[in-house]
Amino acid sequence: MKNIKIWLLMLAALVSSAGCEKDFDEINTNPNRPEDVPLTNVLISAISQGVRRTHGANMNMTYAGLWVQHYAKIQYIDEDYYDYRPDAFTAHFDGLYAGPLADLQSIINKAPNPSNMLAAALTMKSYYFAIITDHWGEVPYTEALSPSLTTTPRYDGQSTIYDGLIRDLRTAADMFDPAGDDLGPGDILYQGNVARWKKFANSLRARLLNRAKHKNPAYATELQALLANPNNLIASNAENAFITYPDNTVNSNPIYNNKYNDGRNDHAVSKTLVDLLLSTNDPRLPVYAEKNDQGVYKGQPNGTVEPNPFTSVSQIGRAFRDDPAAPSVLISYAEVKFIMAEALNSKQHYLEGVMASCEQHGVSADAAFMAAVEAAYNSNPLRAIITQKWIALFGDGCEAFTEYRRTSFPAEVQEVPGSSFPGKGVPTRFAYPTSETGNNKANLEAAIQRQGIDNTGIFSNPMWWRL
Amino acid sequence: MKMSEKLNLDGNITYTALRSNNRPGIGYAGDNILQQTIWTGRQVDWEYLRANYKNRDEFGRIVNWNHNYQNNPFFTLYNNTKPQRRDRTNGYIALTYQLLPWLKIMGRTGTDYYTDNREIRFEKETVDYPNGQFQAQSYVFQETNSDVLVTVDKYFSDAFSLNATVGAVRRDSRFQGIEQTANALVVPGLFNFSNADGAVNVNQFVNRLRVNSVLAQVSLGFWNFIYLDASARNDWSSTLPAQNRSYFYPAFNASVVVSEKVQIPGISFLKLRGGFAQAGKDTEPYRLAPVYAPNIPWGGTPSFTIPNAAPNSELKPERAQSIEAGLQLQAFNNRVRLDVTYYNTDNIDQIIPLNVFSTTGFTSRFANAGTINNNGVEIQFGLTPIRAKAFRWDIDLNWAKNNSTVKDLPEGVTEITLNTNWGLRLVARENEPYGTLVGRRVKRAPDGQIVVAPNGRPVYDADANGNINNFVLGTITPDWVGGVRNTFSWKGLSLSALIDMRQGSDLFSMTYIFGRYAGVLEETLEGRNTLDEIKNGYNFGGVIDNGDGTYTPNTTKRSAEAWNADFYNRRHDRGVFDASFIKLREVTLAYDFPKKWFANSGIGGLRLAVYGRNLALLHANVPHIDPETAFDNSNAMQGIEFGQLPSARTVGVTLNAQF
Repeated sequence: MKNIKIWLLMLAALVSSAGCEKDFDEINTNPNRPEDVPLTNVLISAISQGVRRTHGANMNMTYAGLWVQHYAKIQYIDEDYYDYRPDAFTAHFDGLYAGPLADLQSIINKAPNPSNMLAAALTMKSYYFAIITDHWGEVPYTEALSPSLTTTPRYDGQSTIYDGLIRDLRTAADMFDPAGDDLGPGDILYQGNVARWKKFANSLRARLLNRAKHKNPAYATELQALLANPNNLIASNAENAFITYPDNTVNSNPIYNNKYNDGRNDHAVSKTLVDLLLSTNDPRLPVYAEKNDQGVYKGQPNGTVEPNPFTSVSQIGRAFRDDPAAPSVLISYAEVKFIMAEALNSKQHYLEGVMASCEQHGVSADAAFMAAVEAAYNSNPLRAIITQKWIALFGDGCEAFTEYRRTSFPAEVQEVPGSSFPGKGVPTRFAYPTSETGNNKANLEAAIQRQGIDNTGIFSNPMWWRL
Repeated sequence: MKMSEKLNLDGNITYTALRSNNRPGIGYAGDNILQQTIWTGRQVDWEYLRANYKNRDEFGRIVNWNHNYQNNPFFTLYNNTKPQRRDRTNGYIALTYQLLPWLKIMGRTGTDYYTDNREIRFEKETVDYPNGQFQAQSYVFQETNSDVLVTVDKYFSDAFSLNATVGAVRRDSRFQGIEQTANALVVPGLFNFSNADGAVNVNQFVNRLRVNSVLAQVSLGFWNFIYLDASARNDWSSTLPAQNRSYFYPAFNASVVVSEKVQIPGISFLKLRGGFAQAGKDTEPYRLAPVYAPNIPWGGTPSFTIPNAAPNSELKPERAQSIEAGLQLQAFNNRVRLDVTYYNTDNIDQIIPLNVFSTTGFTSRFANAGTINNNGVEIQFGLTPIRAKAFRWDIDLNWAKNNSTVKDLPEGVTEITLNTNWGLRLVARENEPYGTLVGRRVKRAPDGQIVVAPNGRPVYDADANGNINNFVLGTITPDWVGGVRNTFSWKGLSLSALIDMRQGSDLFSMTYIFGRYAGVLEETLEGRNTLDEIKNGYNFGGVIDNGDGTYTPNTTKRSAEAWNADFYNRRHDRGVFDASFIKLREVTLAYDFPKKWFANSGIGGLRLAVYGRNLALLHANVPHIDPETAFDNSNAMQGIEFGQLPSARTVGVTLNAQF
């Protein structure tokens, strides 16, 4: 019987040790991932991953840039018929919120106040949020990016969001301090040049104020004050906000990557763009487009009912398509000039904008071309300004599409003949992601009602800043 | 092995090796050979491509028929390989001490250990990887289970017997891996990281978990016809937060062999059984606390991001609760056999990465989200219509029906998206069967004709809420599955055939959609049969909606190319088919040699059989493909099909000897 006691004792010991949780916290501590990293290494993710999306082969080339007819599709024509892929919009919407915006919010939560790091994060947050509200309209803003606050954030009106973005950009511009903290290697926009960050934040603020100045008199006043000192803004192409790309594979320019690493060749340059450039003998045409197999520039018509043979059209220019390091421009000196031209009714700024764009692309504007550009202004200033801005924005389809929906210029951009939604015109927005229907349904449906979004998801009442 | 009168040592070790020089590519990927087939024009000479996949054309490119999207399929097949080596060992050692004739103590430890080494190779000049790519993945997995069990096994009398166990168990699991990728190669043909052009990206991980348990189980038998089983178990898992890491679950079963005590004419055996069980389950490691995840470094600079899946420090264990009842019957001298089971299981507090609204900064959040209820009936019925001296005919029928429903999703969540492919979503909706296909559909007139726009293109339908993306197009859950096996035996010869059936369920065939778009399917001949049709287009029918409830026949002609391309353009209903099937699953002809032939030879029996498996798809409602295969092996991809490898038919001969 002694044996039994020993065995039972051993069993009791084992049973009690089974309940022991001594090492559990250590076992379940993730040995693979850091809980904290230097914020500059988060900033680089927020800038690079977000811009790769907004300037990428899908959001830019296949939606915004396609629908504003910078590009036309030669294969998988569906988006050119406005047959969008719901999962693409879901990916962009989710990808911006859960990608760069989540990263930027973690910087905002952790960076000292004031600091250049905080100011840079506020600037980039406003940059992305503007793209989101300009394409999706009402979206969660005041309750967003804080899962502890709510998992069903309410949708804010565009005026609320613009108020917040403009305020944050003002705060950021005031906060940038050249004597302050170093932004570190994650600053792939300005390599630590904080003075240029300040100009970038101010130029973005000018962009948003100009877009909505007719909706709020305070915006118009603030815009005039901001433009009164052009040195507050991007004042040369050297100060443009852009990133370049470090390799020719995973982190290559997304337009290059689409062709060379994804093996796609689905896009050509739109006939709308090529014809406009041809009509003025625009020196940027050889930069934006290649000659076709007949040795001439020939754009692909957007969304024709019958497919076009695609060897006979102009491919996207080498500087955009074939250079793995090619820059993605967030905002340029030329755009600042066009904003000034519009806000100050200034032909001079308009002409300087066109010349700045030509300089940016390494071509010179000859007198005959500039005369044609000036004649366009004389007949319809706003149409000329926005058309030239649209040309200058080649590569940044989102901003071009937004300005088109604000102004209806260029007037040459019209509903495609093969539209799946005939008679509805050019889409007014991106569709809300399908992921929302399951997760934030009540708030979403109210937002759809308020904005008059129809059954297609991409046609609605005009955006709030529509002229 | 007996160590002494009372001590026994026992053990076992198994080793398995897997070697493959090329796992086939599946899914929507350039290395899926079927994808290449679907996108290759029917005029392309594959033998020419095979003969020339190493050669170059006048422009210096690999010989191919299309250089934009397609690799020469033989270039892919022979260069872009995916070798794998896996070595697996498992074994245990157990020490048992027989303390008393009715009491023993066992200590046991066992481990399952494998290493898995995989490579993925893309040669330079592959369309998707013009600079080549090389991935190597090495995994080491080990799970060790150790337990001590005390068992009482006592037969008191015919009226009462007892079997009881108490014990403790520890499970330790460790999974470590290193995944390396070279995104470009220097020279072709050398798949080695010394040949990497640029930095090699590395992902390394170690995942550990431990579960401690105590358990008790008792089985009682009364009068040899009533049996009761009860068990209880408590687990402590390292993967759960401290306040929730301990969980208890009991089970209880009873069975009564009625035929032991009650004589029912014709019935030789009748057993009723019923039971109730709970189970608890933990989760994966490291789901509780927030971390940063690395991106691929930007140039030389490390890049970190907030992961899309939010952690949850309040996870609870998953629970399952089930009841089961059954009946087993043999009658008429075993010529009728019936086994019926009913079950109802609630899987409660399922831990899933629940989709959350991305404006929170996350797209998913680990959460105890909802209950999946499964209930159903399984029936096995056997009949022997003929049992003569030399001849026998058996019919064995099985039939099963399962209802799977999602319930109790968290506040504000009405559905969980399991997957999205080509815009078609597979979702689990609250109070609906698990696995609904949701997408777009073409608008149809009341008589079923397709509604087209004046330009001849099919128009999208919209639901009452004005949504074009939200039509339920099908479900992946079948109404029932079943099979019939007929066996004919004559002397030593037997012939048996198994027919399998699935009734109901739907699938979305992207093979069909892309086959339409690419013009490789027979159906795409419509509208290009004559020169006139090719030149001037063809009226593919349909009607135009006049907006006042009337419809006008379409008059717009379109090319077959444009018409078929519109099958692809997100009109999912045109690729959704009924996935029912009837298959001749197996036929076996066997012969048992007469035993007297080898009497005294030491051979107890000898059987020669000729068999065929997966012999014929007797009936299917989906064209071109086998409805039983799918996109890939994952659960979330059910109901979606693309580029599947054709299912293989197997024919063979076996010889079995018994000693």
